[in-house]
Amino acid sequence: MDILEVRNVGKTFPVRKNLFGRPTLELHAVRSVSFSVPRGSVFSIVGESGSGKSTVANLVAGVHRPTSGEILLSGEPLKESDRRRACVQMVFQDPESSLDPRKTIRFQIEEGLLIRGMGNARERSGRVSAMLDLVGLGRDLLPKYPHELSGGQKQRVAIARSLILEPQLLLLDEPTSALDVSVQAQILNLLMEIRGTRTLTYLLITHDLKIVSCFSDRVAVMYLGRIVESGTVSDIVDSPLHPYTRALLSAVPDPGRRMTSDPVRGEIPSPLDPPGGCAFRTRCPDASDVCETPPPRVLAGGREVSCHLHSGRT
Amino acid sequence: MTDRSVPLLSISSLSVRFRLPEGILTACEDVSFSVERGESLGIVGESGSGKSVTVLSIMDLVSAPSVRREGNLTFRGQPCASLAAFRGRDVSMVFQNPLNSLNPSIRIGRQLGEVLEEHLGMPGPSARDRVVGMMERLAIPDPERMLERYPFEFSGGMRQRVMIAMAMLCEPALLVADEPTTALDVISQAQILHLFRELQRVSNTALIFITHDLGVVSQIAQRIMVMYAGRVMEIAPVADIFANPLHPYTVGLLRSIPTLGAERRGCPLAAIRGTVPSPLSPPPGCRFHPRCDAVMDVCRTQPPPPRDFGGRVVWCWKYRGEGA
Repeated sequence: MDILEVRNVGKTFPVRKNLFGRPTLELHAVRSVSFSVPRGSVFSIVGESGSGKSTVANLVAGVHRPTSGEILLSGEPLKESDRRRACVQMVFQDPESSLDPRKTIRFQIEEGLLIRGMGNARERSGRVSAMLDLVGLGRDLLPKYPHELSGGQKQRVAIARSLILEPQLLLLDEPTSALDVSVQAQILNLLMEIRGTRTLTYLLITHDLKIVSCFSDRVAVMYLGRIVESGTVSDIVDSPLHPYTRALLSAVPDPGRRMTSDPVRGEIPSPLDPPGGCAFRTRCPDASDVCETPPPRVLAGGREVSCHLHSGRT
Repeated sequence: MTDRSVPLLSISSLSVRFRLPEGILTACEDVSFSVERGESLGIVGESGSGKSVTVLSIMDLVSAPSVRREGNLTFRGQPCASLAAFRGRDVSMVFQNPLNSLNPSIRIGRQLGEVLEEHLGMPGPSARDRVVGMMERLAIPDPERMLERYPFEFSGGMRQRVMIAMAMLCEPALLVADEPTTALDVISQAQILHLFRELQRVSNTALIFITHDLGVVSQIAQRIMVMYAGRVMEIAPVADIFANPLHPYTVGLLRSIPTLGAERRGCPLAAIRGTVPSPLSPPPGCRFHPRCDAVMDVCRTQPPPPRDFGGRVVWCWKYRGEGA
């Protein structure tokens, strides 16, 4: 069974309200997004800023409630009361701001257990030590404060903190974007290693296709609140179908090839006023008149693409 | 001044130190390099490598009383203390966050026109024509209307184009760009890199491009200088850095970046063990030795001298006895 199923989920935020608190301008951050994540896999959502990828993570984490659609966790619909559940945990981009500067490392790792009143002091301390071993940190760090740690160490603490409640689903929102290249590799390796030792599913939110390529099983590409294409990592990275996916891939600066021209013209339109029909049509090199109508969802061999170009495929 | 054999900019033995309550912080030490006319030099390093401080101190933009700077600098063959006197007209800069560099309450047109008035004494109308021409070169749509707008009305990518337009207006001999694409999305980044390449092709402006991203620098630089913990590790033409890196740090850095290729998918990345040392107490000898797999006794005590391999230089004891 899939651990996570997202069905036609939409989320709108009020941007401006009138005197009576009714929204007069709304931002459709996520529109009718559907995907499912098999247990034990790594599912990546990739997109530029404003694509809605972080909103999806926040919806799954229960930080926001969806405006429409439903989210199922192990087949059970997500309820408001589930916000504090232990089986979904999150690791954020910047450990500088996700850790409390005034609390010791021991407290921050232990906090989840304390909130739930789990175990006595000795058991908790044992769990904390086990987590430190898991993320490769020494016990000498326990009485220290976040400012005494390097960026990589802080992100390890954030991972230990999220894993102490033994979650089944870990949401990784740009977990290495704030880190240096040499440290990024250490953290990615650690995450891969941890997944080998326990049944854990990752939902990875990132803008970096190189990380997606190395690290995930399935990928969904988002543009202006919609999934434009999804499939296995080799579907998406090695033979992309959607013109936007192709543009994203060709924009990745790779030492192996020299870019010769602009990958795509123009800029991402405002999410407050996205183009009708296919949202990418204003920048698409292959756009035609038919793109002013909503693109069909084309399913072919386990992959899915929303594009008129591929409406003939089955 | 027009002697072609003299490099545009030459730096030798540059060190920058900050006196802090905790002790002396060495931001960069014994940095030597040169930039030819029209050349693009990429400076790559992780945080704390000293890449920004090196360039900022050359521009005289770090001038707190606690700063001590040593070293020699020549610009067009003339020795000078810093590039402060050339800033704006002959040398200009583009920073990471354009929103911090633009005045939020002045229209873009006036901010750009001011540059020409100030440095070239150009009157309003002809300055305006030149500004519009430069904006067209940078693919800013509808430049006449854009001039009337304020910085907040532009997207990140467009703001960075405005900054580059501003920096290029006086056709400087040297443009310094400090992480100009780091705050941008991957497509805007590719567009800006493309613009830098086009500008370089048509003008004779030399470029110093500072970045932490080896992928980015591979797209823009002719030569690459790799820095680590305040010291230069290696300087080489771009093709040599990627095809045949000499310094163990460069080798490690290249191996640790994920790639799009299918060959190594799902395999662990070859991470460099350990972490960057504190600039307050850098290790003696070669700065990289505590993390280096090829470490020898001499690396622990003495900083390696430069080894010149004709066109490329490496600071590593491994190549003792080789090169010139």
